[in-house]
Amino acid sequence: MIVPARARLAIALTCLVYLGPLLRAKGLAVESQPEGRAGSAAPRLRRYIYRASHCAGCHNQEKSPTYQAAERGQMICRMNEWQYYEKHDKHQLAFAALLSQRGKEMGERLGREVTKIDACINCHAAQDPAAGVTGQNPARLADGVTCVACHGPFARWVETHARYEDDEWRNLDRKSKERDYGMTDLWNPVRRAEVCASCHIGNHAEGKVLTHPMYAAGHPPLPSFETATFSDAQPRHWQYVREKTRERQRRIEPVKQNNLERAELVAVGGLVAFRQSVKLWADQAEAGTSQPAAAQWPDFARFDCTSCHHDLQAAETPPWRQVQARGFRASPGRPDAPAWSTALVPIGIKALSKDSASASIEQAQFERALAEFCTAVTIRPFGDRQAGSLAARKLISWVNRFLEDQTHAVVDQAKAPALLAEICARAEESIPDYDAARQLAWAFRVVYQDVTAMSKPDPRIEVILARLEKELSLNMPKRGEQTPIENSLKSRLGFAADYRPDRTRDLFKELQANLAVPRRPGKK
Amino acid sequence: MRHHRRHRAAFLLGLLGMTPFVGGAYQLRHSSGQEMPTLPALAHSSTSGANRTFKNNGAGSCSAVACHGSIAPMLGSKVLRNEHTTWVSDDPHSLAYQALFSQRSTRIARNLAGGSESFTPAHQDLQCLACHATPRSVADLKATAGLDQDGVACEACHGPSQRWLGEHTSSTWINRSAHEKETAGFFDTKNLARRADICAGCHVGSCSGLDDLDHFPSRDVNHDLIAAGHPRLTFELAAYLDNLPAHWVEKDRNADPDFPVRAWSVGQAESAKAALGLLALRAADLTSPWPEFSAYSCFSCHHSLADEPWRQRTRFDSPSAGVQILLGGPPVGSWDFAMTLALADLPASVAAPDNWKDLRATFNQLIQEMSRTVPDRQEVARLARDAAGKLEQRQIELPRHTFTLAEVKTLIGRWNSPEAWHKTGGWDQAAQRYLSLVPLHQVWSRLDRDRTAELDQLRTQLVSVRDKLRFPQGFDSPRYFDPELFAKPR
Repeated sequence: MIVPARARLAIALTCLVYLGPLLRAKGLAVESQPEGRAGSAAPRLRRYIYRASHCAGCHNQEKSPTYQAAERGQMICRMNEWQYYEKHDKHQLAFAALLSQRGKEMGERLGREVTKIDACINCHAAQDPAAGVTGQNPARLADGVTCVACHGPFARWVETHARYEDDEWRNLDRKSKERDYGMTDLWNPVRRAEVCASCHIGNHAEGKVLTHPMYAAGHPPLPSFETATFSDAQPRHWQYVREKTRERQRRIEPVKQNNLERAELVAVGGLVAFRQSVKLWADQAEAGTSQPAAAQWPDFARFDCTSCHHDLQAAETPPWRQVQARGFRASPGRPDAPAWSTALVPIGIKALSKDSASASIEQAQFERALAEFCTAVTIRPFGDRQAGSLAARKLISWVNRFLEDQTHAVVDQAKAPALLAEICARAEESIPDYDAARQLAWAFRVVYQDVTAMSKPDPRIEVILARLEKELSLNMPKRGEQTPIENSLKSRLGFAADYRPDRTRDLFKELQANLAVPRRPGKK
Repeated sequence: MRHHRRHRAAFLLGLLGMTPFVGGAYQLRHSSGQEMPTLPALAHSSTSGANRTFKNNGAGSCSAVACHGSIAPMLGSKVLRNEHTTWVSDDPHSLAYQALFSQRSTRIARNLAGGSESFTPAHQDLQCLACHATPRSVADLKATAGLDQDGVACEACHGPSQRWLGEHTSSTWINRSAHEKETAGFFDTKNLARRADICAGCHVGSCSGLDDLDHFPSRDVNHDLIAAGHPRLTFELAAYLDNLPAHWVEKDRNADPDFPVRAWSVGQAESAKAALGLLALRAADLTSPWPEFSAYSCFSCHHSLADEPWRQRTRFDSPSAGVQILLGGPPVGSWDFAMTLALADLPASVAAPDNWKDLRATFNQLIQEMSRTVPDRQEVARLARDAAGKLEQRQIELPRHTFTLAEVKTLIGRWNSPEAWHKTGGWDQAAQRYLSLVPLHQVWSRLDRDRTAELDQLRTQLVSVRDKLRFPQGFDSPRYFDPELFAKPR
């Protein structure tokens, strides 16, 4: 039988299309670059999604040779990470959430099976974006968000780092581990915050976009995201550098001296979360109508949820949104960009700038760019798409430049009091909404805990923080327990619905007053 | 600046073939002043332009003790004689201008200026005066600012008295036909449709679309204004008439026992038409915010995020079932159109069922288009105009019909059925359904000499529904609303 040339080509192409996912599933996929590390000199890296059980082989065995090597300080980590992850970490339930009653009902409303949509899988499992749902091994999907989802889905580092007795891996610096081997440099707070934010806020390029139709179908509202607090709530299966033994500390180079890492993560995380949120706005606005109907612009989900979603207060009260001193950023009645993500930016600026003069210059630059963005977003209902994304790009390059400039910035004990005071001042002046107030309160708590880690905390501040927790529900619901979201969602949403800015503001005032009065010597 | 905008708007309206809306007004502008405009076909334009251009004399011209300012009604007179007294002492319309000096109004004005301290006070803002004083053209508002303090006075509803004040006190007036009186600027408030149309001019709203100093400022409570603090508008003629301290006695057919149901049905049609007209003009005016959120169900967005499965079950709270709208898309006209299509159930309407089918189709298209995140302005203007036109055709017979007891009972059976309540998706629909049943109950009790247990049962049920509809203390929205509350067996 003679097959015409065109037909042969078609058959070949078809084979490729069908075989591609199969090859990938077997770990034979095409080599590709790790995210965002596209240096021309870097070797091609093979993507591979390892199952969590693969990592458990070593990171779980207390009495294994690997563990003993860790004990001797030959490794950065403690080799007991699996125990935290398996017992407490909700990330492994991410895929199971899709199989829950809520997941099923959402699927019915969306008209698709949620376990088969990239838009769901991309966040609810360690998804290889290149493979797509069809290329995924179902067993691996069922593992949920596993180790490689954050640490890097690449074979080279996974295989190399496992040879603990081999110095090849131990002698590498963080940069080459990421660039040449594909292990995400989570010791870099910027990278760490980016990785979290890609799901917890969204990432258009990676197909992680939670749209309003998905919310309307029943997806729980994403809470605001403060990286340090969420890391603790995960709970952490790692140690901050300061908590590590000297032996281990030496293996993490470069280490900043006198750095309050959690406070630094608040600062960096605040900036990264803001950049991510604005970027998502711009990316989706620019993609415009060239997206599936459910993600088309304007997507309500890119605006502040509580702009619209709040109960209306009776005129006699009177409604705080209408009397707030900050007024409306443009005409009243226009959905605004999410306000929570801007809350920690001034804190980040203050924490990372080398002195207060440069901090105020940066703050002024940020405010100018933000004002431009807010105007574009509210100039008409759902904003001016082009002007908005243009202003967003400016904000993004400002964040990039600022973070780049401050790579070596250290957040030390000397800076901390000013940071705490700044958080209180922002909470009083800006009249934050619930999510923004939570960001500020979380930030305060983390920085304060970081400062007092070596000393005894001030009981007066502890009391106010406990009241703030009662007001805003700062503790992650069911911390560390692997319970379905249904158990905590109602209560969490209730806190947001009953939010009273005046009460929160008073608590921050009290915090500020107590910060100003130093404790009497001798009275711990 | 403002006038330029008007020019542009009028030009665009012309381009879009919107002439039916402004036709009456244009006719007037080009007339020499002798020629009287004919009543325009569509509700809102008649109140916004047309014979309102005559001069107003103010409530002071009516308040003489021997005219309408008597302390008590005068026996043997053709009218009560104490109309002005009732209005000035009991009718909230007389306080409309005073409201602009309240704390709330100051807050609204400041918020509209973006929180700035240099804002136009509400009592000087034409956007506010458009409804909070007797409606006048921009030029008149400036020239006769002294009339503002009357609030919404006699001439707001009865028409500017320039051409009829003198004659209406003489013996010839009684021989004038309603049409002649209208031509002189005296509004035919005995005609229910005309009355509803006058009310809807402010209580639903109307954009003028005129382009010179003679233009009337838009009476438009849009979402910007509501967000700044203005209450939303929820007009229903029968309930509003019940609540207004009447300074008149209904006569002729309006004194018939079935009046409440007729008032309700005419009111529904007129307010839907006014809402459609307003929507069309907002859509066509490129300077007005779009999408205009106040056209949608307030509470489909304005609810705090609680885990309420009924919201996902209901999908949308639209007046017309079976329209596929985007998940999470807001439903349009949840108040103004909630019972519009139910008008097809009225005996007077069954004559031409096809026409309702036609109207239903147009409505569904409109709902679908409006549920898109940014609806197409031109398409919305076209569909709204189309629907208003179709409604106008159907609605002509409504005021002429006399409802019988059997008809009233049939309607109650239909609109109060568990199935009907079960389909109620949101607070607006539930409230409108309740408001449709109240006049039916009133007429039933008037027509039924032997008050039955059934009637009492309906009353008890309505009281319970009303209680369920009440907003919780401190709220201006139904925080704990759940359609199941209304769907439960009574």
